[in-house]
Amino acid sequence: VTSIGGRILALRTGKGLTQRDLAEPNYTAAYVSSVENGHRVPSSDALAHFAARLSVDVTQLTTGRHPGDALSVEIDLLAGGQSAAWLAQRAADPSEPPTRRAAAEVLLGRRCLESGAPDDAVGHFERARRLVPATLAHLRTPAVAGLVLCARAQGDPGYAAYLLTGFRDELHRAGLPDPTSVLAVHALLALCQHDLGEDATAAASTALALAGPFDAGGVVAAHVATARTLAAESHLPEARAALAAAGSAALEAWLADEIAGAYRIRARGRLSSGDLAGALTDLTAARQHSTGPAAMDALVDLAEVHRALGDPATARELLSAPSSGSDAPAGSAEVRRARAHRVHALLSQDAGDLDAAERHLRAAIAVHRRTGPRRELAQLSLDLADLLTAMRRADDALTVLADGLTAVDTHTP
Amino acid sequence: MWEGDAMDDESLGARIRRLRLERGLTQRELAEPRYTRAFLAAIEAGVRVPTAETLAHIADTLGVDADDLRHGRPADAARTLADVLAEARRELSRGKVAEAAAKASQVAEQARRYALPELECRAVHLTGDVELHRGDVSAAIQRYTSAKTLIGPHDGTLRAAVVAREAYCLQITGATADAITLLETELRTVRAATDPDPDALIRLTSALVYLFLELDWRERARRLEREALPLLPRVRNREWHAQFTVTVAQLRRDNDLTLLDGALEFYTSQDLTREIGICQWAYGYVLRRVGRVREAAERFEQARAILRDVGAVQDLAGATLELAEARRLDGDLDGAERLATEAADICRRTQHQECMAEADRVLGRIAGARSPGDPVADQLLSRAADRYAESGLVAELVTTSRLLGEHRRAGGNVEGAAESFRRGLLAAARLPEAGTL
Repeated sequence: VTSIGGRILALRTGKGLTQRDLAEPNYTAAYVSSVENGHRVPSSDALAHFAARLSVDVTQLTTGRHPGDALSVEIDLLAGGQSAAWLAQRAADPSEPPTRRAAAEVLLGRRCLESGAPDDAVGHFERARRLVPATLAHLRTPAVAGLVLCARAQGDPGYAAYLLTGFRDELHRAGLPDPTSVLAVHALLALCQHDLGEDATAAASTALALAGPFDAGGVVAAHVATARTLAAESHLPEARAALAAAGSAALEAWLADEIAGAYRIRARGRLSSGDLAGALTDLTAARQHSTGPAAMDALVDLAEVHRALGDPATARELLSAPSSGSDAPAGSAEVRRARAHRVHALLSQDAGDLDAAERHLRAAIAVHRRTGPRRELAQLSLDLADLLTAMRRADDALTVLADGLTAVDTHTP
Repeated sequence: MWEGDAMDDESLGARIRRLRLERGLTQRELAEPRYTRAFLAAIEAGVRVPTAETLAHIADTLGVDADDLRHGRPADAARTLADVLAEARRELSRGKVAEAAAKASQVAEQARRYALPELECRAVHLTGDVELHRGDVSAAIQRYTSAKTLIGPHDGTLRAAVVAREAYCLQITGATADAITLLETELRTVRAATDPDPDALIRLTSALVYLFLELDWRERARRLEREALPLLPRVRNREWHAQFTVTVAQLRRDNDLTLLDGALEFYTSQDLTREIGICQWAYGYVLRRVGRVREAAERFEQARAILRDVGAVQDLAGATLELAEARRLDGDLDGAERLATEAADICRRTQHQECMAEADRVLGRIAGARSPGDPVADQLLSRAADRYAESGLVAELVTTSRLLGEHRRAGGNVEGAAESFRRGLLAAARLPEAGTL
């Protein structure tokens, strides 16, 4: 069916209406007949009347396209699983709306980032940020988050923090404190501040006050399914609302590991201030949020909390749990083993086995000398020196301090 | 200063009349065949204003440029003014600030009168540089802001020059984030053009790399350098080319000195004295870090001589300290001590905390090398560590604590050594580092 008349005829008979039913009260059956057989072109008033009677959109009568089709690209972008070629085509197509092109660029950037190519990802995220107009600053959040993840992966936490504070101010100035954007910005900011050796608990708390359910991925799928149904039934505003909700959940799902990181940061603060129950809650949440490296890191943190709670058995059990799942970047598994050694050392010290504590600390130090971070190396050297001093081995303590500081000072990250 | 100065207040009609008489023409001869004698007489009397077309005819017959005629500027005004400006630039580089300031203001005024906005902008820019040299940042900002209003919509190169200076001013007033935003926004705009201007790109990149080096964001700086490198052969402004290479050489610290050779050759050809000094300093900086200590010392010597002559006090102190360190590494403790003491005196006068700390550290190492456990060395190194801690220079505090700990350990002071090592390790536990969670 390629004509307006033909489409009206098909829709009318499909609904079992007569020409008179469709025409009344404003028009006559004869008018409907002449429109259907193409002798007359319906006025815009008449088109609106017919569309309302037939429960369709006017554009569906004039173009023959189902209005829900307009949302199919948005739905596909959120449903995921599209080929890189398809995404690249969407991103480069100047006839696509800019926000849709930006969404495609973000997905392309994420793929580069996940395949360990942050340098390539930067270009995609930069383009995505530029495509979204400044008046819709809150829609720039995924692009900015991508740039921040790239900067961290490239070893530039200072630059990442600069990007985040600038964007936080941009959202504020634009009057767009979109909760998911605020959550994303502060979770990432907490990570950067931690990298920079600054106090990150305030940013982490701001983020976590807005953090949603654990299974954000499942929430995305549910919203997308809802949007599909609504679009198929031409409830476009409702379908768009479902897609917006899906977009927010998708951002949380993407940043699940970073949000888990914010939980870990707050848990550390709570652990050191003696709020063990609070730390426990946060670490449990961290493990539920993330299925990636952060969940395994949280396991080691959890062991430390249980040790502080006076439950060494649970602590040892948690430390012996085999690590599973994906583990990027490389080397982080080794660093995690070193952190486990540190908790083991604390447990041994509690049990009065100082020799075992020394062995564990030395093992952890050996790992950090190879892989960094220098901060951990410095802290562990201090811990071991304290232990050796308590064991009345001042000379050994001095050697540990001297070697530790030399390694820290000459290690190039 | 040049021909035309005396006639500044001459009206357009009077100018036409003067030039006509100089060429021995009658009013009729100048007017015809397109215009009447009476019409030309009215123009000369200032009763009528010539249209562009009429002016073009008159200028053509008089054998002058129509714009020159309209604005009453000598035929070679633009070139003459540019030469004066270049001379002012050289004077500033030689430390003759007052002379440079006078020339720059003069050129700015003449260029405005002659309707040469690009030259006017460059002259106002130089008056800003003069203020920066005098240390008056807010006056400099004012000059750069007014220079910006003179830039044509398509002169991306000039815009980059002014924006880079604005960002530098923001940086030294502590508004570092604003400086980065300004430069990055500008860089994005330039890059988004269909045919990006390589000169503007390299100028803005140099400014950002310098800023990132100051922030110790070396990764970021290296990435910017890699992006800009392919543009270098297309850069026309040789001074910006040189500036980029000097900045980048300090970032790279490798054995390849050819980039610096090009820069030095350029600065020498332009007789830019202070820049030659900075370039020699950069050679020394790189050479010392690749272990070529003797060669480094030679370069620092040259840098020192130049920087002292031009009165660049803070740069002189930096080069002197570098030279002292090179001498120390070469085993010449007496020479090193003399130099470091000289640098320490300068730093005390300028109250430059980082420089004072560095002078103390070099002197402390010298005293420690002469006699292990020496109490004066202990004092100097302790004071250096305190100064670094106060200035928030964590990495330097870590190094100094290590040196002090080693010094005390060598002198048999076990407890003191442990204390210093601990201080360094506690500082290191707060070192900025990616992926620490």
